[in-house]
Amino acid sequence: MLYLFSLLLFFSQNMEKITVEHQWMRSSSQRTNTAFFAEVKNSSSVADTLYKVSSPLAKLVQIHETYEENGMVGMREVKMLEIKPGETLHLKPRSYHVMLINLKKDLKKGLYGEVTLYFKHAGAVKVKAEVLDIVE
Amino acid sequence: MKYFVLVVSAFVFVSCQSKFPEKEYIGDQSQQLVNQDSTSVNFPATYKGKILLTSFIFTNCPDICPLTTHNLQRIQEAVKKENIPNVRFAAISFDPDRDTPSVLKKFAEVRSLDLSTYSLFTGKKESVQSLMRAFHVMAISNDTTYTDDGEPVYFFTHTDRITLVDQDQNIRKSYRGSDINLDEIISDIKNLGD
Repeated sequence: MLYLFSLLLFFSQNMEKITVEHQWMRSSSQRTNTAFFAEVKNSSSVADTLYKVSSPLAKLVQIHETYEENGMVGMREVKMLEIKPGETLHLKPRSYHVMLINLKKDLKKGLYGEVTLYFKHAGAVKVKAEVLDIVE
Repeated sequence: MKYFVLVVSAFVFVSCQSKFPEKEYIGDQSQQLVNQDSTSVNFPATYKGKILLTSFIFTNCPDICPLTTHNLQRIQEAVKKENIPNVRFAAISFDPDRDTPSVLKKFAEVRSLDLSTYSLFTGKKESVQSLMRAFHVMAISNDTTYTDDGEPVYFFTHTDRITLVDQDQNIRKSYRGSDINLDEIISDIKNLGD
């Protein structure tokens, strides 16, 4: 009984400990692309991995990073991102972000849309994000 | 006295050099472009006599180009606030296949761009590439992938830059486009206007 209780306690400590805060998307028009940004905190005691993203807003959704090489900037897909226990993954401009490719509708300032982040341990975390114009 | 004049001259020379490290004439490299309203424009000749801030973008860019576009907007707002006359803003697409005038128009609408002094341009590939060479801007397309319904998806690795052009069509200074020092740029615009 004690063993079962310990097991439950262990799993309850490690489940659903991914929190997504300050999420937003940049305004953009239908058929173009935009990015989703957020702070993703892993409060559990084990590392977790963001391995997939989805959204009904776009035809294709990927994890991306913006990089700089030889004075030029570009983007590339990243297959997964690990978040160590107690650490926060910053999805932010000029860095890692969720790419919403080929938008199905205009995303104008003030609208909200859903994005789901999939983690190896925490599972699917669905969030609502506001569309903003802000630079940072 | 002779040494005094020499020292003052050297100081003035160094001051001017640090304010505007570049002076490269581009007025003879004009190309035909079309703006978001499908109006043909000879660029940059049409801006002769005005201070011009130019960037090169593609509208499918989700991170760097929106920052650059927004930064030009911030400069535009500051210019208006300070009543600085004769300043114009231009963003030229290096993805003319996708960035048609109507796409540019939509891009401007969604971002509430004030098109009274800010224009978005597209044009023939050769024309855009010629202007990119004049402005020392590069854009290299990455591998193409496809959405589930077969639409091509590609991005560019590109120069991140806003370029300041003076009233005589000389490039005078370049700034990082996605991350600007607004005070520095406004000060440079004022110096050119003096």
